[in-house]
Amino acid sequence: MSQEVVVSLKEVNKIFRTPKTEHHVLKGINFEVKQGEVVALIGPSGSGKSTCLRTINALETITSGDVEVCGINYRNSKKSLHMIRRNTGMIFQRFELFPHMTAIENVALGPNLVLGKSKDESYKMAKDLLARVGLANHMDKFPKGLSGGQQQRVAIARALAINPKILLCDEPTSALDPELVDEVVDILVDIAATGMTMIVVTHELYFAQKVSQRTMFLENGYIVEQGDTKKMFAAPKTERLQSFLKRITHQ
Amino acid sequence: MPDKKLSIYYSFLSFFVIGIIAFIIVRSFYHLDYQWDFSVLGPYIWLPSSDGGGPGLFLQGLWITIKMSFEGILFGSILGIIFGILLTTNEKVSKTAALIYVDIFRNTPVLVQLYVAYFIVGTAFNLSGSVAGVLTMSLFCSAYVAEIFRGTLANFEKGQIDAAKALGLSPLQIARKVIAPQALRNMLPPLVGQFVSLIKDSSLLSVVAIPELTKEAQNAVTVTFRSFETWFFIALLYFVVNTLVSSFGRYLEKRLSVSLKQ
Repeated sequence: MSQEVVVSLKEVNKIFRTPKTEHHVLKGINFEVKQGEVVALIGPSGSGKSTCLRTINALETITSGDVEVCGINYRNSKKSLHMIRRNTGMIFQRFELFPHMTAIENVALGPNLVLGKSKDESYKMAKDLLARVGLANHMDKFPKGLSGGQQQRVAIARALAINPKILLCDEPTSALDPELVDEVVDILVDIAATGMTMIVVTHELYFAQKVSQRTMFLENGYIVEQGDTKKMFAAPKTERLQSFLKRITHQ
Repeated sequence: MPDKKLSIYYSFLSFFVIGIIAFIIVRSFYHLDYQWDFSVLGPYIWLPSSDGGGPGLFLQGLWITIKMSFEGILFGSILGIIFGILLTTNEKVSKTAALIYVDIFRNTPVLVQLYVAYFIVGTAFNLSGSVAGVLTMSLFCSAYVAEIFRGTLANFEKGQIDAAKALGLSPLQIARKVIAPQALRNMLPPLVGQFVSLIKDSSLLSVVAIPELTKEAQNAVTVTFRSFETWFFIALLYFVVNTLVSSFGRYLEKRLSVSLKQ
């Protein structure tokens, strides 16, 4: 496994400002992710973990600090922002498929418009990807005709279609019915096994354990504890992580 | 769907309401001491062959109503989209300007707008009645279209835009491939409603002596003294045109929404 750093956050601060209030969401976040690593971001809701993930592909701007993806800093130019988004794929809690397009159209959109491939080539790519996530028989269905798990699998195929170096997952299983979680988890584990760099925001500990080597525990905008996933869950060092793990396993 | 027991009550309720309305109408007409004679309208609909045949004044007026409404809708939509875009930008000056424009045209009577366009602006710039009329209808219509445009975009799911951004699409690609196909469908019902109401409002053009349907009807009444027959017939013509427009809207809506089903 190469040791190249593909994502690095340095002293990242994020403050949401409204005329009346100020909300300091990320308080000097520092971390690096190396190529091929799978990192889980856990923490209570409101801890800033989703915001943190969204700063990586600039869906969220940062107030101060530096974010670099594959050596590109999006502060440099519009073009570098575009390059960062080409290098990252993202899946969302609520899938966010385009409802006016069929599954295959959703997946082929990226290759066609972003990678500049021909329609035929894009559809061929989309077909292969949908087959890979087990949806070869549902390619011409619209999102509304698919179950939550199937929709999330289409979304995974769509994210992979632009050949990203890094896959960002924002609570990919939280909106799913419990019996549909496994089909999505299995695919993400498969993708991790191919050597894809992944950063996964989740509050399902079993998913974090299954997919990630390293875990970061965020609370209140700080990284409170980080380390090897298995060791961390088996023997949490900080009191905060201990109480968090206790609370979440009790649910 | 209401359950079976409730649906009986719903049917009963609708029969009851329809019954009352029918009773009022039938009773009113029964007590009306009036000799109906629709035959006087004949020459207004189609000229007798002694006068050379061809469409009569009502049909000519109807054509002008349709033509001017269409022009108003066309220019109004173009202008409305421009103002709608301004309303959705974050640039303060243009946003405020667009907001003032929309508020002025939505919150003042069309009749007054028409008077200003014809007697004040029209006199200064030497505009004909029909130019002033189309101008007023376009501006009036555009204010509503702008508001419909803004409302639709404001309600658009932010998550989909995030997904499109994350995919690496440019803002223009997002607008064309993701937002437009969905927003267009969502805009359709309120737009068609606006167009239908504009066609009815076009009757106000009669006050600036444009020979559209309502003006021709007024002329016919002064000659024939048959106001009931004339206005009922005119209402029927508006009804037919507007029903066609709404049905076309419903048809489009259905066709476009097929893709949002399974």
